[in-house]
Amino acid sequence: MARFQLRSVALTITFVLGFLMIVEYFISFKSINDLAANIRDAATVIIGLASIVGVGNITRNHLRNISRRGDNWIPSIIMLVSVWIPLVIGLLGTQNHPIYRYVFVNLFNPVGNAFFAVLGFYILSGAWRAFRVKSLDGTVMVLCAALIFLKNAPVAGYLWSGFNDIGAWIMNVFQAAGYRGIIIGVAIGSITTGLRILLGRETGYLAERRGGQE
Amino acid sequence: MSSGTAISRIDVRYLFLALLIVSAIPIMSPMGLPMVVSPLTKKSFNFIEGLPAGSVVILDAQHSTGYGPELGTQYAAVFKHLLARPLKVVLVAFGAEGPQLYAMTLEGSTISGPPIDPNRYGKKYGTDYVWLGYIPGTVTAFAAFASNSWLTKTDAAGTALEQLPIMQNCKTVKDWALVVSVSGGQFEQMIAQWYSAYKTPIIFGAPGVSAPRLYSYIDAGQLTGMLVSIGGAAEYELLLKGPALAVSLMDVLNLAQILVVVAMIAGNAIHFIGRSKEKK
Repeated sequence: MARFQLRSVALTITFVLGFLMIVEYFISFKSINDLAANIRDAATVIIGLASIVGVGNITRNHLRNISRRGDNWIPSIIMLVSVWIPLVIGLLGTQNHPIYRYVFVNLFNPVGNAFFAVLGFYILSGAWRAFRVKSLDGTVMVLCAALIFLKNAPVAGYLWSGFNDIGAWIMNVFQAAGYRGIIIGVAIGSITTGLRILLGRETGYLAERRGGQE
Repeated sequence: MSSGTAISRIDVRYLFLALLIVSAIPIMSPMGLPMVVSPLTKKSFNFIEGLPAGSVVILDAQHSTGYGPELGTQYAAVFKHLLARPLKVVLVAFGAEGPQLYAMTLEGSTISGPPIDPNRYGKKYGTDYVWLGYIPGTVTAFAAFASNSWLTKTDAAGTALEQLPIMQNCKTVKDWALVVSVSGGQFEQMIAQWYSAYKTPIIFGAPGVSAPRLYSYIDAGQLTGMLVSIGGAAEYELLLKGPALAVSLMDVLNLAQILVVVAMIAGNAIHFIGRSKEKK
């Protein structure tokens, strides 16, 4: 019974706050706007605090994995060290602490860059193996890809401005039209999901276990 | 020998080596290949040029280090432009890595280029620019910051906003003349919270992989401008008449893109040669 009431409270809060935010977006009424602004301010603080839950969850899961000598327990140790050393340094000495800055600039930064740079090799490999003129569809795709690549290489546009014009035409007309359809579809999906959440039909965010248990 | 076999017999690592070489050569010995400024970059630049003196501009660092110079150089180029103009710049980060990226931009780094000293532009902290730090919450934070730009109560160093003259002219979204957000995502949410709700002009600094989905918003007038990838940053540096890191890296982009096109053509040529031999 208590669990049922707790669920009802959570659903009611969701409905009231969600409905308030939607109404506030469309109307200009000072007291409602102020109330919504205060709730949003509070939400940013709550979201900030939620990171504590995230760190706690990661720590708990990886500690469990290490203690059980589960799959990839050594990377779990690396994970915990990577999370906790910068966290402790950041908390003790702020984000401007020299060690924190050093770790970010000289470790985190190049590792992040390297991860993204690997994409270049994948694209090259894909261009070599996958872009094949086998059918009409494939030919159109290969031609468009080649023209966009040439548009993105400024020297090509300098040699012949047509590469820029054709590339821009593909991007602004065909590509934009395709994406517009996707965006509208996503928007309709978002409205549907939002309505389902507000009406209590979608309750995944309550983190309930099977059988209605929390 | 089938065409598929012909392709697979060539070790793709030779291509990777070629990419490494064409990327390394221009870094070691810049070639200065020519480039043309795109209308999209020019539009963004001209909009900032046209802002009246004293206008408040929000500059958001929402990208991450993973994007490297692609977005780091955009942030640096726009920051320099805003400092060069008589504008009030409110710097904020809706991305968790923003504080570090802001510091790296001021100090100079491998992803943002040479250091930027606002004093060199005659700009005074608290009067002409302010750094509010990281605001968590993404879409909630966008909405909250729009209705209350004093959300953080203090700047990133802990100085109360009441003590900063620049913040007297920046209390809600209605005071903003422009938002420039250098970001890897959350574009639609920013448009919804800032443009759709308040008609605030927005310019995005976007990575090449995200830019395509934003052209629709440009066409619809919901987006004032956009810098696309490192090319956009390099074009911006040219417009500023101060070539920096992005321009120097354009040789790499040029050669790498052309190598990809060559790989496409060569792959197809081998495929067709192999197929014609099969028929014979």
